[in-house]
Amino acid sequence: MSISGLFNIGRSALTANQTALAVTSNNIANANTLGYSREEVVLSVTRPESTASGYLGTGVSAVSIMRSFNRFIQMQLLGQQQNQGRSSAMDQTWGQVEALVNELQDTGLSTSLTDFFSAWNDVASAPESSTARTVLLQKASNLTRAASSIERSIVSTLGNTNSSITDDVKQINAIASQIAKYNTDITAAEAGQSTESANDLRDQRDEKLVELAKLVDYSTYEDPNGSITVTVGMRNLVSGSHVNTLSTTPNADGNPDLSLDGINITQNVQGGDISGLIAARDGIQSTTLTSLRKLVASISQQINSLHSTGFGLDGSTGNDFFNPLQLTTLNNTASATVSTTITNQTALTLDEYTINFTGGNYNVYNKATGALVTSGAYAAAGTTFVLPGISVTISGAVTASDSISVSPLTTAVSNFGVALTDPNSVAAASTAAGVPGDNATASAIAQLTDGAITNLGGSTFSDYYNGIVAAVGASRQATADVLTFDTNVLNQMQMQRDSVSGVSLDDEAANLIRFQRAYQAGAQVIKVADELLQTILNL
Amino acid sequence: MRITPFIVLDQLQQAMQSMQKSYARTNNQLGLQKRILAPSDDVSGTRRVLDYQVDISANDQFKRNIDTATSNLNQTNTALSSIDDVLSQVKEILLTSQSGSNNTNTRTVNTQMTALLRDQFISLANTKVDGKYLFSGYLSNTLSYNTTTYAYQGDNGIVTIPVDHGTTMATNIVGSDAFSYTLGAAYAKQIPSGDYVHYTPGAGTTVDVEIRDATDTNVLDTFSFSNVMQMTDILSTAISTNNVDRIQALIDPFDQVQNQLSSASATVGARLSSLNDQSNLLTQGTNSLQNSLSSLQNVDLVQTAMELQKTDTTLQALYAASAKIMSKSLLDFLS
Repeated sequence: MSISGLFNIGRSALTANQTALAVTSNNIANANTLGYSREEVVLSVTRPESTASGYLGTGVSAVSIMRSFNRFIQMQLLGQQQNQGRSSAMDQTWGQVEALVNELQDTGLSTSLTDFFSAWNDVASAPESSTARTVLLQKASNLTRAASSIERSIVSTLGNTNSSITDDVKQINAIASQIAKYNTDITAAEAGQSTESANDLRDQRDEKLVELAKLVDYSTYEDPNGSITVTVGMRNLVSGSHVNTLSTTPNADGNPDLSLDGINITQNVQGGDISGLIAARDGIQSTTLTSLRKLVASISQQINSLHSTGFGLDGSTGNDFFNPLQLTTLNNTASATVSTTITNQTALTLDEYTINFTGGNYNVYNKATGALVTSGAYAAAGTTFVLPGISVTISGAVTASDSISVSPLTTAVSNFGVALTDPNSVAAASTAAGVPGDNATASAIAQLTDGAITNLGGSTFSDYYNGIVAAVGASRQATADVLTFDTNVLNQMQMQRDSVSGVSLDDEAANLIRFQRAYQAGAQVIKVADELLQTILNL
Repeated sequence: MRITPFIVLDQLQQAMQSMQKSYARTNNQLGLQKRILAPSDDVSGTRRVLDYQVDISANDQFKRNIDTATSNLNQTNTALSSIDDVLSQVKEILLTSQSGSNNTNTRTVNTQMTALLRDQFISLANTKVDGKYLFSGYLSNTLSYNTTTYAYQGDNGIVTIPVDHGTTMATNIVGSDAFSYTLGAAYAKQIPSGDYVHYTPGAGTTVDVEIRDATDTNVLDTFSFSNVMQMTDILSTAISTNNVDRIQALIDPFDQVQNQLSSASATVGARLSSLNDQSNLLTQGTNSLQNSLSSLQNVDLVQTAMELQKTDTTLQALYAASAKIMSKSLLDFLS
């Protein structure tokens, strides 16, 4: 080996350690950068030189800069991020509804319900008293106000949830196009290389994947060229540089469903914020909201049914106490016309119905249980059939995808109001002759609180309402438990990721010294080589 | 496992978060004096709290109804016992007049007394409480008895109000049950004067009376009445005319109506005592429900205060530890 060989060795030490110092400095600089993976320089001996006395090393080179990254941990982290996103959204949404019926802090319907029946008791105790009757009308309108206020808040929570779903969709689309952009960049940067070298771009793309995981569950696979395909609900969201836009379409209830590539993927989305929002929304709509409406509908139905048989102080009879129930018909057909009427308020079972058409027949299903209620041949000229208390007439051409829904509950709360204005019309007496001292009707209404209500599955009003509160509490408790679990697991995963990929300033400080010393020693090698050369030149 | 500052800081942050959360929660529990703050804290506990609250408010309502019923029945009771006093006085006059041997002065005084007592009957039977005539049945805004014909103007309506789950209690006595009697079957008897009296049931509480001679064939006199006021009125006239047959014929009916009155008083008394029992039961029920509710819902002050202290100490320790850990770095020792 020549003296210039020593120079080369010294130079290689300087270059390699300088690179290592640069990487260390970059690690230190990014110590607090979210999603940054610690990088390491891979040093390697250069090809040795063969001499008479054996192979002699020729120095060092920095062959590559590796990210400290564990794909397995990263995938688990993403999966957990999706779970946690879902449970966090569900917890928040149920939390809002729980606050609306938090009877333990005196919000909800309980007080006004008790007061209302208490006022009926007072009318029963003093059927002649116009004070008791006026108070009753007051308490009744308090009850309607309390019920409407809870319903409005639930509906507005559902509305906000739907807005959040739409916002999530926008964000998902934005992240999808960024991932597509990174795909293009990474493919270009790594073209022709056998290793993953676009470390920082990959870190940034991974961070976008984490962001996406918070919103929606997806799966990914990486193409050999370094670009990744992201599938949501079994449809491609990102494929290379191409993005399919996620969009929303209103479903039968008028709530947004997710649609990707022209397919409704709502049922296949099971993780992330958006799925939590959808699950909470559907849960609240089909349980809490429907139950509240059913309770109110049942109160108004039962009281009207008794009240209309009674007689007021003014001798009036046949009056409804509350506004009678109304039907809401949703007609999702192209050309059929539907007319529905309530033939008997008392006979209503307070069920909601969905009507479908198959093979020339109409089929009526109970919306809540899915059970077939009735069916028969459909004639386009006009088909009339009867459901408990309801008469339905449909005419016009129908197709198999058509559906019609009939509900006595949709407007049960919004339409819940006191029909009577004159306290003297409150029917406390059971016979015209018994006015004013007869309290039989008022007493019967007061005792409704104890009665098992068939339309509420045999519960009393209070039982049913308490059931709603408990059900909301149970849902919230379940989501809160899952959230705690998911968050703990996520923290564990995050810790594992940080353990592998996180920057330790102590490590880096040590490395800084190490590479600095090596650099200084390399410079010393060059100095020695220079002195050797000087010795030769001085001969 | 390799430890990086992120791990340490994240862990500290999580620990502090969870401590702060439990700190806030305990604080809130102490502030509101409630163990369960939201249904999700304890679903089955919440359900029981709500059920207890419903039961307690139902009990309160029943107690209010009982109070109303008790007040009504107490008024009725007072009226009935005054009427009983009046009735005893009428009977006394009746008994002293039945021989027909009183002189004119005494008869005049007795006639006036009887007329006065009849008016007392009327005014007691027309007792009005809270704008309601106590003895008119459902027709509580109608005078119970006509002040000139003494005819009953109410109906047979019994007002009942709920006093427990599925139990109701009548809160009134109708006039026709207290001041009249219904004759079951016709009967006849010989009165001390030797004549015969035939009592025949008429419509409702009307009793038709026929006085026959000692041979029980020739009808001497007929009259009829349907309540104690009419009976007293007839008595008053009979005393003034010294109509011994009529006076003696009235002895039986007055006994009957007194029985009726006692039985009405007994009914009221029984109802009052049953309401009192019921009210006590409800109070006991409410007390035991309140106890269950308290043990379920109320916060254990000592335990919660200890909990708060513990959390506070842990939080302090955590702050101290964090300050130490965060200040340690290799960089501090390199120079």
